[in-house]
Amino acid sequence: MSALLQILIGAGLQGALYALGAIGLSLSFGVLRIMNLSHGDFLMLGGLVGYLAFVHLGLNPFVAAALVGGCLFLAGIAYHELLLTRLAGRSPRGVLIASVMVTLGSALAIEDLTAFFWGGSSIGIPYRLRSLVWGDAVFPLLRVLLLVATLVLTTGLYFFLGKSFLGRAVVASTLNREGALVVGINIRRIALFTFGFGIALTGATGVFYATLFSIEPYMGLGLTLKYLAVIVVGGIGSLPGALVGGLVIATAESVTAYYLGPHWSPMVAFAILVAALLVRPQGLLGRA
Amino acid sequence: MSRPYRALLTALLLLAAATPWIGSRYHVSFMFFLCMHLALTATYDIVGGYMGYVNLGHGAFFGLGAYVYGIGVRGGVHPLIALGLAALVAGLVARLIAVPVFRLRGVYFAIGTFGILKLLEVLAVNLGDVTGGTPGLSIPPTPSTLPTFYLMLGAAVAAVALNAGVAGSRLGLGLVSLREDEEVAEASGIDTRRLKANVFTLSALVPGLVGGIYMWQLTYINPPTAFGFEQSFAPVIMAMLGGTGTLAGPLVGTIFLTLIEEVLWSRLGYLQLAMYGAVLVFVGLVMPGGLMRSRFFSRAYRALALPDHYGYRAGAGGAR
Repeated sequence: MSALLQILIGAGLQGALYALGAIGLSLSFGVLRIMNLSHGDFLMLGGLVGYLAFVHLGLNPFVAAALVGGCLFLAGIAYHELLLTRLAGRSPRGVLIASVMVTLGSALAIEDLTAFFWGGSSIGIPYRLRSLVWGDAVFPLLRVLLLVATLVLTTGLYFFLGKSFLGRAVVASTLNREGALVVGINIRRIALFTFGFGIALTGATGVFYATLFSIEPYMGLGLTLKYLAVIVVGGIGSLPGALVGGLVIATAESVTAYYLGPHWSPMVAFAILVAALLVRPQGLLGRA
Repeated sequence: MSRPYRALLTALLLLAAATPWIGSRYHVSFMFFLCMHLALTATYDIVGGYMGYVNLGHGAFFGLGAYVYGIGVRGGVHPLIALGLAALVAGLVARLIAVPVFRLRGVYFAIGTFGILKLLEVLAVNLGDVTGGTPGLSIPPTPSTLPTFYLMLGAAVAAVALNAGVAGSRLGLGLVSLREDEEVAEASGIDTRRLKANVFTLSALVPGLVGGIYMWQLTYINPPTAFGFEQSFAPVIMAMLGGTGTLAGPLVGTIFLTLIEEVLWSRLGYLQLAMYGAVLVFVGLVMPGGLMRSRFFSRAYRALALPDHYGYRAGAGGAR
């Protein structure tokens, strides 16, 4: 019983991390209509920058996450301006093929260059806190704090997307591009902001990820696939959807690891991805 | 096929066939891998270029072929029969996969096929009793490399011939019309579902065979090599660099990129994937139609008097 409870709590944290990483991909696909296959690599880069900030600047992961978010926001803006804006104005199939080329190509380049400069080993941020003991239950303080941080971020995101003008403009653009244009939303600027914002969020998640688990240079594409699974399950551009998708996949992974053995858990996300794509052959946009 | 082009192809083929007799072991090995890439790229392009479905899981058939061959030979099957089995199993699996994945289109198809590739990789790791798991699968080496060399050359020729044959046939016309507008193709009487499944199966046979020959030659395979980046993305990248959906595109892209890779590999020994990535980004941004549709190559194409398959010059094919 307590083992299962422990698993579920772990899965909750894991699922929240998946959702935070995936929501940026989901929003920017919704607005730009470009599937960014290098999305997972920005989590890895965020984790790496967070690690460097922890080791060299002595920042704790929570401060580092804010710093990384700022850095990666700029990186995302640069990526969008240098690579993605050039795809505008092509035919739908032209955009599809060119976006696969550009984002897959940059994923390969980011991963290989990172491995080249960093050495390819897997690292984690060695930030540890003591555990809280309450009766005979043990709460690892770090995990609790990370859970609180992800909850704060998710809640903030919820209000940002639901209440603020900018957030509502982002959501409106994912729902109906032409409609958003008609009511005077500057889609180009919203797209730029959404992309940078999504990358920043993923980077900050990467710092948490590197603190809890470990990161390595070639993890990006696999992670992107996992995020796609999260989005396909939950629906595009929807934060609650991403949370549901993240929790479903994290729980399925933990349960699989517990009952079948940990070596089967990498398969869960891919199986769910393929299955979900097949159940919803119209693709991610259930309403389109 | 025009005379200059045929002469060029014959010269290339003769040069390749003579490699074991006039070249060093290094040249033979280089030519072996060139042929391997060519076979994978030319068959990828039937689905990716003419039909317009970006299949990121093409390497899955290669991996399947390598494993089937390895498992067969370990079980005492004659190498040639094992090769046949490798192609057959790849085709069968493609036929099975075709049913679900062709419910997807566009970027979802690319994601779905990539997901299936990853699924197979995890399966290869986990079904250790059959596949050898993470440490990999090895078979006893064969004394001579000549048979595998000529088999690989044969596979490359077969793949290029298949690509050209499909392009020039009624089947190719069906594929291109499907690529340009699936609904219209269906409305004009093409059974798109059957066509897609059949062509996908056809495109999987050669990679299965190539995987088997690879295993025969190198006698060792593990999940990351069988289902990894190199085998699955290299054909896509080479075809896109050369120009998907053009007759000479896969050939040009493969030779070009394999040469660059070889120079980088011998000078640097690393950053191969980064090079692939940079090429992809560059082609995607600057010449989305690939080399064969760029201005310089267009002139060469015309000079060689190559056939203009389906509005090649009008830029209707591939990425436009």
